[in-house]
Amino acid sequence: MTPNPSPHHADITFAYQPIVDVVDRKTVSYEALVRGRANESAFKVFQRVEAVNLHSFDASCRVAAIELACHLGLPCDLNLNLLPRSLFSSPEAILSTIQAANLNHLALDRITLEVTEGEVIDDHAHFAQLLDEYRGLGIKISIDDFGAGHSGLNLLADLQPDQLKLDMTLVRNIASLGPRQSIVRAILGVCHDLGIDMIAEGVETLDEYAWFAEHGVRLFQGYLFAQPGFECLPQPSIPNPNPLLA
Amino acid sequence: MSELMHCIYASAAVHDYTTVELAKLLQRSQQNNQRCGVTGVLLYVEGNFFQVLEGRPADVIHTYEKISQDSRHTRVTRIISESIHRRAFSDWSMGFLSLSQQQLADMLGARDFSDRTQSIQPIVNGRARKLLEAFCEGRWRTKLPAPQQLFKMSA
Repeated sequence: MTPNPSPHHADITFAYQPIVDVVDRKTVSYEALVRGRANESAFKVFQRVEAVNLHSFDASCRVAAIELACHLGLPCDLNLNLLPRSLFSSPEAILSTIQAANLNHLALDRITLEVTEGEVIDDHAHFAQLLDEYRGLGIKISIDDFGAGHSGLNLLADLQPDQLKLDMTLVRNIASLGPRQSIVRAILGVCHDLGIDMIAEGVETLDEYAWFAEHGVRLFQGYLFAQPGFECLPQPSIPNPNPLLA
Repeated sequence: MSELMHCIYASAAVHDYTTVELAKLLQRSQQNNQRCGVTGVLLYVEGNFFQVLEGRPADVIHTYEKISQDSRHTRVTRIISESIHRRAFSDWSMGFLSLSQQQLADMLGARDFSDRTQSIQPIVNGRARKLLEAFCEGRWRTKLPAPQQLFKMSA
């Protein structure tokens, strides 16, 4: 007997939050964030999923996120979350995503898969090898919440993603905290050396924004620019990071 | 296995190359690469090489192995080796750029560095381009200009 995946596809929907390029002053991608029908948080939605169904649920989220984003007229890239262990559970995890992209005429090089650092499996090399196959199809890879997990820079020895999203704990109040600045400068150096785009995520204040902009970061996501839009693709506001340069 | 990959490395020349030597090196590399369908770009800046090799995995790996054993350069450092969706240098059996300090400064001065250097125009956005920019900004160079040159530069 096949367990009924719950909650069903029909019980979920998505909010989309823009990732902005502050130099070109445009939205380069939207991250799809799962929500309940009544805008319940992702946390609540996942609470309703039984462990046995987790990976099929994860896969169906990506399919539904693509369908809705394309229906809304997605004009740029789309960032989709992926539970790293889904890659090992079954090839369906990604095949269904690719199929949904094809059905909705979304080119694969407009898709970025976000993998949370803390969830990456211990066998980095094996994991990197699996992701590399999707890279060959044009799909981009992003490491989410970087700096929050235990693998840290070590992960980048085996896996060089296209994107790295800095964990909010490193972003918060960075303009006044030396140790955070020092760590982020080191990570930025690695990104520069390896051709990885850094995204400052969870940016809420002008001070945080200004610090990253001064250090050459041009990709941002956070409340300062736009809150996630429930079932819509919100337009960001992009403040000038440094009035002195205006 | 994916159909295409790129391998990007940096190395240091064992001696300063003259223009004639560089031309010979490039010619040989182009002949070899044309035979096996490897494309890419080779940069030479003040004793430092930087090369992008792209093509079918077996060909790229074979070419890189041959190159890394070549005694005319040292400190061969593999930076990135991964699958790619499409070539960034499809028309070039091996593009070549030899840059002087001034050309480099010009290039870095341009906000979008493809603006001023005609030969870099066709490069699509992606890792190869980002690494090329990083190398032009001084990353992955292990050979420093001679002290005399440094003195001249700061004068």
